[in-house]
Amino acid sequence: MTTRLTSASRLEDGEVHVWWTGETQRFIDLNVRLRADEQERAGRFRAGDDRDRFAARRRLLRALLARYHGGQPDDIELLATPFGKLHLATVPATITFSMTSSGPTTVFAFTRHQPIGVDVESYDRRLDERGLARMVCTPSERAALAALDEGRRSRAFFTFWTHKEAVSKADGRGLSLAPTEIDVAWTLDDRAGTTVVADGSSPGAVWHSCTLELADELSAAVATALRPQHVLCTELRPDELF
Amino acid sequence: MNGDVRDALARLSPEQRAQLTEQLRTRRNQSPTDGIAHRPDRQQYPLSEAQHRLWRLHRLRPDTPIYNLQVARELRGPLDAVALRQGLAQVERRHATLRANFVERAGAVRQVVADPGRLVLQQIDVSDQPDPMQAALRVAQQDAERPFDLEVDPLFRATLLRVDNAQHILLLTLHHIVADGWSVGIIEEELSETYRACREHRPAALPDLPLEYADIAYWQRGRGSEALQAEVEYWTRQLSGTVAPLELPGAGTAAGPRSMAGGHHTFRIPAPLTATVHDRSRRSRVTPFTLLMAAFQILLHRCSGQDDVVVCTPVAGRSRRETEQLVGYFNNLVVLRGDLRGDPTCATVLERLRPVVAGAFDHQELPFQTVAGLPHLSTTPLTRALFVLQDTGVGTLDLPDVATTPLTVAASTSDFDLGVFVRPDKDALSGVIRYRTHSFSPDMLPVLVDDFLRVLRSVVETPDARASQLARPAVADMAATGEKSTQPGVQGQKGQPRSALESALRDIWERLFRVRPIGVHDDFFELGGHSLLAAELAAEVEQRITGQPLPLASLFSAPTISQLAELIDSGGWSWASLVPIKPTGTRPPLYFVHAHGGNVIGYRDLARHLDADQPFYGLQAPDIRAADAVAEPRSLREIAARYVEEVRSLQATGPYFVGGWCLGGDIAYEMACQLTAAGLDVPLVLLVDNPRPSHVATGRNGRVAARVRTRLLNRAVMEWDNLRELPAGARPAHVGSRLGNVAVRLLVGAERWVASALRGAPVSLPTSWTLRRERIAERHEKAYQEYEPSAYTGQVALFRAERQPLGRAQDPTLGWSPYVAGTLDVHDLPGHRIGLLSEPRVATAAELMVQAMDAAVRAEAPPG
Repeated sequence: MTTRLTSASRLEDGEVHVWWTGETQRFIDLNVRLRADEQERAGRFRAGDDRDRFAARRRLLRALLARYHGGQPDDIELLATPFGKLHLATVPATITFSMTSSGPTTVFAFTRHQPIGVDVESYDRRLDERGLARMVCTPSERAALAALDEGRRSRAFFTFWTHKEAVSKADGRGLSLAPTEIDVAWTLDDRAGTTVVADGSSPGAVWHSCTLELADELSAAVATALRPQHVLCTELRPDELF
Repeated sequence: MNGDVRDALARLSPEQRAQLTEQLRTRRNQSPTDGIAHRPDRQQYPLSEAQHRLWRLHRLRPDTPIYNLQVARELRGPLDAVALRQGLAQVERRHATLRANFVERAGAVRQVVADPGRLVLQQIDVSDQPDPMQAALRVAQQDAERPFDLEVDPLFRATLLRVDNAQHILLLTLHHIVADGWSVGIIEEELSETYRACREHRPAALPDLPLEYADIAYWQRGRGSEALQAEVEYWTRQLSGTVAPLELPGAGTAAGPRSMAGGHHTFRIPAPLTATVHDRSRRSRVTPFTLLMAAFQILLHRCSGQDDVVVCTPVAGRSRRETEQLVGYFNNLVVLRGDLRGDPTCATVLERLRPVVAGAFDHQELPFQTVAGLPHLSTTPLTRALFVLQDTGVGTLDLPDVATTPLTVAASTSDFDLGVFVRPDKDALSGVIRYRTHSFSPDMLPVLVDDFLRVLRSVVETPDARASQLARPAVADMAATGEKSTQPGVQGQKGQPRSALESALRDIWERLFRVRPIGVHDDFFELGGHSLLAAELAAEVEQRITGQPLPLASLFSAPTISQLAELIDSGGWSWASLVPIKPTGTRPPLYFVHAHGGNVIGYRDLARHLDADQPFYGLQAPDIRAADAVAEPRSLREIAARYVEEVRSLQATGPYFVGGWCLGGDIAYEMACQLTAAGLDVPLVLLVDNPRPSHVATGRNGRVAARVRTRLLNRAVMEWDNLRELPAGARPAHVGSRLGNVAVRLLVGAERWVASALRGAPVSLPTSWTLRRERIAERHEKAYQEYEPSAYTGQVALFRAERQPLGRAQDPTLGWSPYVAGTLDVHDLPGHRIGLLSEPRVATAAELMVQAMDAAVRAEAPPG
């Protein structure tokens, strides 16, 4: 699973490439042009750190997309769906991607010809799992959590959450798809598997998701429509990109 | 065509021309080559295209009421409910569509027609409510918002609300998948005839229906795509180039799905202006609809600066003669694209609009979804604004000896960001604007109406004025947050919370983000929020504020505290018990608790008569609104504890004023004990005629017969006195409604007998509204009987009726003195206990209460 990706790696059919960094702000100086609306949006963030990270993420995204799609990073055109999901403006979009961040960590996932979603959370604070589980977990997930020792419940909840989020981002509706429609109780036993989403415009949509091992303090998952043959995962290094 | 004919045509009025067009169209449609065949009666048939679309949308949101059609008619005069019931049954029998359900099997959905007889006229009596009309409107709103299960529910329901003996409200509610506006007109027309026929014991004189909606559906399926090719070409041309989404005045620019929470605002176009509208449209050779639409588009243009203004209007979709008498979903939407380039005069706008309207109506067969799905339009929202001028031609209910008035019922959702519905109303025009609160705050609506009327006047009086010469609409400078800004984009306030709800939300946000201070207009995502935080936020809001789940997606449509507060207030997520009867004012709020029945509608009069600066909240029983009200019984202490929690979620620190009538007083007393025990300030508890059980029981000594006699005597005396204090004209209605009460009690008794007889049987009775109320009252009675009050050291004001029932003890404190260790002031109010807080005596009660609250605050203040 951990074949190292390099700038030369091609994205084959059936593969998922995952790039991530725990220090997004180190890429703030990438030489990639932001669009006017992106600059404006960056400016609206309250915290300076958030501002820098937003700008860095967009620059990184363009740099990586240029690598897969061809052309220059500055020329990459992005569009957003009404649900806020980004995609390439070119039609048809053979390269699909998803992006997620949590504090200083950002994760990018790429594949071909199919929807993809990725999510990351850091275990950096205490959650009220019981209250949250009541709200976002299915009955079997809640039962699975209750059966665990107190100490393991928090991590288990994060696993559930990141898989659900990855699926809802792959689906495209994000938060508009109720988390209670996505049952991932299986993730406690298996790193990878499929979930059937009951509520959907295409009823019975099946998503495949798998856990990503990035770092100890991170919980992450990536979801695709088809089961990937390989998931290749690498930490980004600034010197590598240009 | 030769010159004579052309001249003759040019001399026709718009109405005459419309009639001629209609006749030509009808003749064309009756060509034998494309007649629609009648299929023999089948029980299952396919859906029409429009139905398919609604079906798919319903699958996504099965609980939405947004496709419910409801008409509400106020009926004054003697009404024969039996004839009404029978008349409705006949209408249901005539139209198979009204008996349809939609069932999915093996991946395909079919319409299945049930046998006649499912329609039940639900009858509800609200005459015993303190404010029956308000109660009726609430029921109407709930009915409008109760979703239909397309698979099993009858999709046509009828409810008759009895306001008093000679005043009823009839609600006809259907799902759009089986009916449209025209269909409702047909139903009302036919009902008028079947009602008469039932009363006159004769068969109804209604035309035969040669076709069913099912036949249309089959015909549509069989139709090739070439039939509509001409229309596809028309709309592609008409909507070519870039069509920008309509920018509404003050609308937010949130990305993501918008909330459908809505409000409504009624208005009038006065008779003189209406007359001028008709006159000007005749002279300009346009229809009144075109003229009103032109004014509307000019207004939108002046607000947004857009040259290309897109407004929709519904069309009947019944150009084929055979469809005119059918109930079914025929209607369609067409897009009217106004061209306001080059700063045109009002007359020019009209001229340009005339062919656009004519063309739209000539090409109205193509389903709107197909138009919206044209390649370059698929991501452009076309339905932000809707404008409708309803015909007089549509039927209305006409029952003998009964005067019918349409009623506007509030809906909590809106199909469109801005929907303007205008209908003829004698010599004037009445209008309702239904809007999404996401895009408009309520105080923008009266301003919008004023602006519209001003533009309309200009269009009819000074048609040569250019659009830019008209006064700038005031609503254009208002933000959706409701604040008038001196420049666009500048927020009026500094982001301070403006209500208790916003404060409570801000506390949660600040805690979760670990950032302080957060302004009420700060965006969740710009603060660094992400989906997990959104889930935490939603969980906190549910636990601490609303008691009901908040969909995570609402943060997309309401990403600021201010918008979230609005969503919670208006979007159907509300506190379980708190009812903001009058939330405005700067004095500390007064919370009044429900009596045995559990609801707080009866306190509206009181709220009105208190000080204008006094906020007033009701606390209702949470299971009043639940569909299945079987909550576990709770002690009065537990009930009070829940209410304390909810009050504290709204108001974090004191001072708190609490009170209630009857049982409400007891609960308020207990709340005061708990609040004080928590170290919070309660200047005054207001008890309104709430005797302790021991006090009531003293009147219960002696034999049964004597007790019954005393009770009857008490009641007779009270009813007589209450009747006498009313003006003569209001008495008959009052008597009628009191007698109606008796009937309801008997009905409830009968229902309970039947329900207990059926217990264990496989059939279950739907629990009627009255029976559920009785059950709630029973549980409360038990809590009341078992409550043992704690000692209280604060200030208590007891308001009691001078005319107490006979046979009770003489204790002026109604049994409370043993418990109140602080001060207990007794205030006498004139008359009997029933009617104490209703008109006309409520004014006295309110005045005394305000004085008592002021005195309590003064008494608390340190001396000197």
